[in-house]
Amino acid sequence: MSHAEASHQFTPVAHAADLTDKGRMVVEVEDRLLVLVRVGDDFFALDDVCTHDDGPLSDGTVDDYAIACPRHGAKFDVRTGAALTMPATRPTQAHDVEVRDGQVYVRIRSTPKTAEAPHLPGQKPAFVSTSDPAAAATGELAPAQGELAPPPVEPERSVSEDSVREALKQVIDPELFVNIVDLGLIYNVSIDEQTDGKKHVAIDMTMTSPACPAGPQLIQNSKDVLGRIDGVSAVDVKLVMIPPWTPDRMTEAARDQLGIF
Amino acid sequence: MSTVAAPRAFDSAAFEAFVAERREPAWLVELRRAAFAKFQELPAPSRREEEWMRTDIRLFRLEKFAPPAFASEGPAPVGTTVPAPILSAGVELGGTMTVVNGRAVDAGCDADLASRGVLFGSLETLVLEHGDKLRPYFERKLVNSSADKFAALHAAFWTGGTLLYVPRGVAVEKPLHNLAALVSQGAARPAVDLSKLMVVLEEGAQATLLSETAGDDGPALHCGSIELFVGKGARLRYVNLQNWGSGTWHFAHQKGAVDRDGSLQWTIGALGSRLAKVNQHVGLVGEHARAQVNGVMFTEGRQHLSYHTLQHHEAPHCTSDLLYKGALQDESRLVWRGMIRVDPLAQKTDAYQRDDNLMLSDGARADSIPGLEIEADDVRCTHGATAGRVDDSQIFYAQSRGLTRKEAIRMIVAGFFQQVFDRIEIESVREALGLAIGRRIREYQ
Repeated sequence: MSHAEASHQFTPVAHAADLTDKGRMVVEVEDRLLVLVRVGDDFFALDDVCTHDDGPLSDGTVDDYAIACPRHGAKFDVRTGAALTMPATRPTQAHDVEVRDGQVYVRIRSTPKTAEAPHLPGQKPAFVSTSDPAAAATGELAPAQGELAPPPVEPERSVSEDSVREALKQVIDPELFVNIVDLGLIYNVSIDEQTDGKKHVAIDMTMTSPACPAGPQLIQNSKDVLGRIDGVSAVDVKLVMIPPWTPDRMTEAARDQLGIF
Repeated sequence: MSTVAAPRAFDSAAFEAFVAERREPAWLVELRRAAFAKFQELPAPSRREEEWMRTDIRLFRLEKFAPPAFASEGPAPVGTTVPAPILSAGVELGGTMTVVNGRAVDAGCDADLASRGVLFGSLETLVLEHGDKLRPYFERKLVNSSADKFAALHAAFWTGGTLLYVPRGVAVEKPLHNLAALVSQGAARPAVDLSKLMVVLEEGAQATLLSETAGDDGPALHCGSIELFVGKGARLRYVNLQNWGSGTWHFAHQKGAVDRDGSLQWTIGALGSRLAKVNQHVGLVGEHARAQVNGVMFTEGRQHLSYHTLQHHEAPHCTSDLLYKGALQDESRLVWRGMIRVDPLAQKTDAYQRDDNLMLSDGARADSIPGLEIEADDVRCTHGATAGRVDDSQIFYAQSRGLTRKEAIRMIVAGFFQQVFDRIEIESVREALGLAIGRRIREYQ
């Protein structure tokens, strides 16, 4: 089963005349059930799922641009899928709709891999298993967690040197606890656009010392974060030792973090 | 050979043709007939029922499926490759049994087992030869054929099942293995498996059975049942790995009944299928019976797996212990509803149930709903459920020890499952589950 989804097409689902204002109906597109909603002359399509209890939204009533779940009253914005009221906190997926010659077409929009989802207090890790060695060890790290392990950054849409460097800030030197960009380990970034519009990214990086034991891990982690940027199809990481790294290459932020003035 | 075309729907004409082709004993035909009447009478499950409210089957259309092909049509198109089993790797087996698209294609067990009265192989064949011996077990209807429309459909149309029958006092040392596969590649119609698994351990008997399913990713249906009869003082270890392809709808009723001093260790692995709705029941029917239930689930894509467990204490001094653990990836869903039911006379019951879920992505969702119904007053019943996400600080810690992010996640998931793996005594099963899960884990953010 592949997570990468093929590009989706507009599929005819209904006639515009099938729905009156504030009307809704269930339609099936690519093996998914959607609720199609009409507000005025506009049409919207959402996954037919209330993210509160996973039940269908399609029995709900439409008011303005909101559809209300019939069971517990959660409301969703039909334009964006955003959750508007409790008890729902997460959006339901919205899809693209077009109306041409009285025919309504829907195109499935894939869920972004990292949907920004609000967390309620108490919803976060209830799970710490005592049989889990990694969990038991995290206690040591907890105090410094805030500065050392920032949440992963949302990948940039366009691939630029800035976005590449920004992404590389997620890679942290495990001995100095500072990211490799602020450490000054990234020398050169080149981005090569391919004929298919995809980008090949090549970086030159160095190590703080030629025998750095974390080298393979830093290289692999760099490849991983760059490979996750939208539009990047290939990543090449070249390890260079010339010119050699010196502490001068660190940013102000890195010096502060390491206590070097 | 008959040239009657196979039926195209689950209707009366199809049922009559189905029964006519099989030449089964009258009592079995009567059971099928009653179930078929029930199937016609029962409504489709409704979202308003507690069991189905979290499980959306609006996209399931029974009319797209038909009863399994007649025997004369063969099990699957020529040239079909049956997926290789994964549970039996490196295990010296006492017998094997394979069912493809609801048809038994291969069966065999060691000669010495047969000489000791053990029956292992195709249920539909063995019931013709040993009907008198098996009839009481069919008529006990351990799985209630009127439970819902799917249970009735299965009881009316089941084919190609597997039987393990171990006579009184016989211990089968080598594990036995059975595989059910759904292969729709190249088939004219969606593949269907309505197989039934029946295990009978008479008093003092012992056996280990490894069951697994497999399939390609085309549209397919499994609507099955599992019935485990564990006699007095008998000991059964049963492993059931659900590993269908991603297009399979899986509906199943599964029940084990453990008699006095008997013990059942039942391990389920659930990795496959598009949507699964399973009722897994354990009945402690005689004093001092024991049951341990282990569950390992891993879901991905848009999979939806729904498990409804019941630990039913019908006799005093019994023990039941259920531990389910699930990890979820992508936009997948896990639902667990667990019930411990203690009858008035089941004093000194010791029952436990726990369900832990680990979310590997923001889009995944797990629902855990434990429940107790206790009518005795001298019992110990406890339950728990947890749900959480992989902690970024755990990943960072592992990275600071030289692991890549992906290795770190694998390690955390392995640690999460360790508690349930520790309970699975059979090494090949632990390894197969661990490997299958490790392969599925993707980079996640």
